[in-house]
Amino acid sequence: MKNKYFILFNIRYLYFIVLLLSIQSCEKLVEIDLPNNQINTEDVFKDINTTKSALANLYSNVRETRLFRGGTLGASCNLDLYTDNMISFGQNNPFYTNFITAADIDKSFFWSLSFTDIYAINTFIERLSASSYIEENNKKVFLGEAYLLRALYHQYLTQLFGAIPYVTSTDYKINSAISKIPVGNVLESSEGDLKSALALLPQDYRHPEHIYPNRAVAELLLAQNYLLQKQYVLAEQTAKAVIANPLFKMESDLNKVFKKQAKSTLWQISTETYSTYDADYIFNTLPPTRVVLQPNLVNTFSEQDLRFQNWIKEVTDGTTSYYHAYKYKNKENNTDEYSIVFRIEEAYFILMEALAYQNRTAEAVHYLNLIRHRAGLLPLPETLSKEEFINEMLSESRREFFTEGGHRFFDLKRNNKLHILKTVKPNWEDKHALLPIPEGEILLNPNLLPQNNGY
Amino acid sequence: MKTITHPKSKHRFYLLLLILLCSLHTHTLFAQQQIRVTGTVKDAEAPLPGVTVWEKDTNNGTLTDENGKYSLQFIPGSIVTFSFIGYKTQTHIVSGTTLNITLQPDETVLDEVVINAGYYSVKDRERTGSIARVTAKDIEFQPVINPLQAIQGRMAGVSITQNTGVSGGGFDIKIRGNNSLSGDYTGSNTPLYIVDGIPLYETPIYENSGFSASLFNSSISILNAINPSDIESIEILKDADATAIYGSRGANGVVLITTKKGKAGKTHFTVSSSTAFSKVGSKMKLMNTEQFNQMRDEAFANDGVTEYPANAYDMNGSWDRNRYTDWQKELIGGTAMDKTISLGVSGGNEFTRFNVNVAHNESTTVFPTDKGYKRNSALISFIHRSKDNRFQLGASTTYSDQNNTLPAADLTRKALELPPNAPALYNEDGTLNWQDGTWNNPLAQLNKTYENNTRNLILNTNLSYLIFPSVSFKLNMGITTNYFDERVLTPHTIYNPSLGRTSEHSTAQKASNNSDSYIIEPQIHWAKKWNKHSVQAFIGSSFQSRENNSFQITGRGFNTDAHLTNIGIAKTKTINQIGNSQYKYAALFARLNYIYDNKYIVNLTGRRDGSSRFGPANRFGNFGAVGAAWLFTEESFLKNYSWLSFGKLRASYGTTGSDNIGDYAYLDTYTVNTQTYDGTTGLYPSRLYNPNYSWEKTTKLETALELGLFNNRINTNIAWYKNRSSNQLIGLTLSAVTGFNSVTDNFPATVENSGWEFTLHTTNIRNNNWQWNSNFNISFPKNKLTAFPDLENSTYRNTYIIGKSINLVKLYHYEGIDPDTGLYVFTDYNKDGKLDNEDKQIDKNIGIEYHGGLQNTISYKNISLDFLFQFVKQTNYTFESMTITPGTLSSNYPVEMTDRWSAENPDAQYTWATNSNNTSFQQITTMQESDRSVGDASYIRLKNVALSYKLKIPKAKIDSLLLYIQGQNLFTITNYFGMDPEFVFAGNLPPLRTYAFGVQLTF
Repeated sequence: MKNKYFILFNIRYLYFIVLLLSIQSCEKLVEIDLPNNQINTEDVFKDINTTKSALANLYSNVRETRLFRGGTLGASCNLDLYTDNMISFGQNNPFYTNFITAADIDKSFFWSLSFTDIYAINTFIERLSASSYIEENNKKVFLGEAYLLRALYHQYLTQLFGAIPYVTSTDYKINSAISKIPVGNVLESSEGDLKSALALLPQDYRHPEHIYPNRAVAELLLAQNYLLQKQYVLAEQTAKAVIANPLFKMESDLNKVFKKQAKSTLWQISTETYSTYDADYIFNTLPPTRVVLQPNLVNTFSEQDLRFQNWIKEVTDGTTSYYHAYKYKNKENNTDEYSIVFRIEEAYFILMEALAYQNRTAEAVHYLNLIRHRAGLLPLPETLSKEEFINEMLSESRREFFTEGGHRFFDLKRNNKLHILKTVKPNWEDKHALLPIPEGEILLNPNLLPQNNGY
Repeated sequence: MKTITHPKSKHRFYLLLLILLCSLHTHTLFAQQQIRVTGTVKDAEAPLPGVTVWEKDTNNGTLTDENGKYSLQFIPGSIVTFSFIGYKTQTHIVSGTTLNITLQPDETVLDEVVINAGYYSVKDRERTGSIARVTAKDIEFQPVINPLQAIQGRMAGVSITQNTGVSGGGFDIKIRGNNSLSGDYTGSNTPLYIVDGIPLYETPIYENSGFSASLFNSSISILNAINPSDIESIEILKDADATAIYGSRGANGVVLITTKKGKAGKTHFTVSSSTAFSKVGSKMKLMNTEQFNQMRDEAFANDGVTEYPANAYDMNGSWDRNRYTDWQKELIGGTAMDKTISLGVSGGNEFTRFNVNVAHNESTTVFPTDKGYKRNSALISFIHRSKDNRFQLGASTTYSDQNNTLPAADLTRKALELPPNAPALYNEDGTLNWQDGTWNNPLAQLNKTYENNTRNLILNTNLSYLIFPSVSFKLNMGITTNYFDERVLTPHTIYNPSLGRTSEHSTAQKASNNSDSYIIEPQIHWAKKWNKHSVQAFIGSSFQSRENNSFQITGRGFNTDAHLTNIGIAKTKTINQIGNSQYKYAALFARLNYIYDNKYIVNLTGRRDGSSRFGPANRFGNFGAVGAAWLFTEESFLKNYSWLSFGKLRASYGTTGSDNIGDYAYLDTYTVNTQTYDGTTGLYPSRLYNPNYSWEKTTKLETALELGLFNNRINTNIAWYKNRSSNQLIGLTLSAVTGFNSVTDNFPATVENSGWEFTLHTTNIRNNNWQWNSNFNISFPKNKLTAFPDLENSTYRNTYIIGKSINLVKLYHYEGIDPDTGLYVFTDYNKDGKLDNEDKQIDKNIGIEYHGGLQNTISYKNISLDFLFQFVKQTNYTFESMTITPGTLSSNYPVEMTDRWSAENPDAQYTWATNSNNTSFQQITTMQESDRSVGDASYIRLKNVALSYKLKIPKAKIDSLLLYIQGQNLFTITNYFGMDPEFVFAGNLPPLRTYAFGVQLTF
């Protein structure tokens, strides 16, 4: 009797204690640990290794994001379909049919994923600048790389979309209502970032495989920037500085150009899977199911053009032939290829274009002939007119850079020659010089108005 | 036996009162001259243990022992009451020292329906809240996997839509509409599921690996883990009075599932088995080859193309252009077979009862594959009470193991899209036909397999101890584990051989998402009756914790596809995800219920909640409700109306909340990326940082009238409610320029859900041989955005309109077809010569206007027929929104699209065919976003028919043998243009038509 009573009594008191505890330590009861895959932002920038991880992610973004990604999903392929370099065998590729709408454009993710990456870049710049834990030398290099990346994204976006916002803040309250600025201003901002990068980046590479950009890459981008700003003298000087850099040399063997060890590579992106995305273009049987090179492009190569022999492959069933890009050759078991972002040939083309627009055609022809010589072609006469030269330069660039970085589109656009596409692309219209700003974005932020002409 | 004497009890009682914050206690200070009274309490048959013997209006009392005996001291002349559940309470005046009592069973109480309200149960007649209920008899034999499927159309205010006809999928359940501005896919409109007192959490697919997204879209229902025939009842709590006790998680309603318990008496063995056959109920009428080819030829003629292009495989000779295949028959035309077998044993005595049931279910699909869904489930429960009735212990275990093996994608869309002249699936030698690589053989997708394995365990224990006759301590404890494994195997053979892929490109993906949670809920309950007063109260607290671990790995590159199942030998292995998360939750809750004179009822509930889903400054929130009821038929002035058997007016008002925003959303962190660069693992910013958001609150108001007429042969219930959700906790949509699509924040918009609900239950015939009951329910939900500060300048300006439903869509206005050009014409409202968002001026409410069900149960002797019609009046996107420009090879089309415009047919319904005209493509896009693509999706469906025959064969010692035939979704009356009007994501396999045969043997 007594015992039972005692137990009863104790149970009740135990309960009161539990109840009281619960009231006193409510805060404790709902406290939780950080999940093991997250790190406090503050802590990331206290340690060199986590800082490097945050930076590494900016590079894997460049590899994955649609704006710079190689292969069929990236802008390089879609812009080649958009222009006259490639044919799509899939049904109704909107770039191939030139049927781009504001409602659908961001199915390409060119816009949205790029800004996700820009946010990561800005967070990196903001937090690393404020951190007192990272050694100054490292900080300089890392920040220089981040400024370069920020300029890179904006410089390409503005070529595609025209006026865009130049985003440097991480505050969503600012960015959700940010205004777009004219192309000229975007290029000026990007010029500013590139100059910061130039000041911070070292002359040498921090990795022997050139998988992180150095000062030369910033220079090349700056040369491109000047060209876009039509500042031809500056473009010429900057491009010449890149060409004069002893670190780089045009590969005479065309089969080495797209290998990891190529001397001509300014910056390449390391690949950690069984092949580069750029090897997507390869197919072995007919009929093709994805993309092939336009006959119109294939026909511009002469038989003796070494690039035709080395960078293009014919697939035939005896009656019909199709061609695919064969710059990257490892569809599997890849050990010797990375995705190249910039190679030295680009500097030659920037230089010759800058010279041509200064009416120094003869000098320009000299550089064009270097490219032609390497391809096993005869030189062109220095007496070409400016107009003739530009046409020759555009054809040469097309043969040199097909399936790389959307060169065809950007080259034609910079030289006001997009209209020539109308002969091959029946649906081509003048409005296609710009892509539409995604409709959803304009709905969310009216400061992105007006929509690009014609959309 | 122990006697509770007065002074001690006073002391203890005060302590309790302190906790209960109750000051209703009255007591006597000093003992007067007392006499000891002893006696035995029994009913007609035997002594009754555990009867409460109580001196009226005091705290002097005791319980009878196992022999029904009691002993208690009284002052002569005091009043003593004898009460026991199920018996009429007796009152006596103490005169002698012996008082033997025989209690009479209280038939009215035994008949009384008791409703489970979660932390407490309540007699239906005394209920102040809004609770809908479905019991085992409507659920147990239905040929369904998921309990939600069994209750479709049976409850007012509860709208359930099946996501897919593939077994093992999910459901969209809305209890009184959408409260949250965030979409349905986020799970923020999902109710709280509680099985035997233990909450279950549904993980949206996007929080898993996402492997099954193309099969199940947004969710795999957690309730798949529960065998419907193990369910005793499902109660759905709707209004504030019923849900405020669940505080922060009651906003979207609470679904309480109670599993079956054993009954005292003979031990019963039950064997049941059923077989069901299911098929797609309705097919779409698509073009045949002749019609298709005519359209294609017309397209090329319209485009001025004389030579078929290289990729016009159907026309240029790559395919046999005159082939015909009914792809719906080929790909989704199979019969899914479902077999269920279960064995059960239950029984017990008056102190201990048990129930054990194990079941095995396996079903195939309508796809051309022999794979499918399997579930093994077990329910083990027992209840024990001590002989003195003070102590009670209940425990139940629900375990299930599900395995679902399916093709990696739903083939329905393919069945509708494939051109009728597409090549044969197989070559003559039985291998897959790729027709020289000109098409993607849909059956190749069958080689890509999706498999999931779910193991779910719910352990529950609740115990209660009666400390005093009026005070009991209760403890509810439980553990759940949910292990979810998924695997997708992608052999290279699914790719077109022209891509030249080898097993180097084969991939195997595996993911797991395991969660463990526990809950502990100690409570003190107190109940007391005196004179005309009856008070019940309890206070309790709840501690919950859930830990989730997820893992995902991809292996790529195998020497041979035969090795695919072993990721370990893949050439490259990537760990895509390793994550864990914690969720903790603590609460203090209380209820006070007061009934005066069996007429006036007030019910107060409250809860203080803390959740780890908020930043440290915002973790706690308070919720509460008041409910009241007036049983006006108890009033003397209404007693004389014999036709009015029962009448009650009830009302409730209160607040509930929601923390349905996901874990950790307030943290400023970087997340580990599985992508590496130069061997370095990446880190990326997890989200836009906002630590300041807090609880979303929903205020609920309800009034209802409940009537019983003609001796309760007609019961009806009319309810009106208005719920307002403010301080909306949402992922605020942002422009991608911010780096993310949204930021978690509270938003001062208010969403109002209001509506009428009407239920009617009638007993049409009731005599010895015949019984006919009808149940009817109808609900008119209305959704409205009542406030949205600065909508015009917000990112939602083009999404919402104040005063209209949050389910609205803004659309172009379709005017018709231009008889001269054959192009669709849309209204250019601002006359700027182009169609853009400014011209989307038509708003349509994609949603339900009213829904309900009509159920009839007719039985004659041993034969019973039950049928349920479900009806929904709603608007939704029609098949127009999925059709593309007529004339391209990428799709077949509904036969309606043969009515195309031409100079000779200027009044056609559809535009002319083309294969390459961008203007035409453009107008189709516009059409899909116009009011032409939205239409009536209402339907009346014969949801369930059950015919059963029950017989007893006492000679063979068979208690009952039940034979039944069930039909599910037998026919549908609808004007909907599309496959089926019940869908959440267009293009999924619709709910299937099922016939089932079963037998249940009990001995």
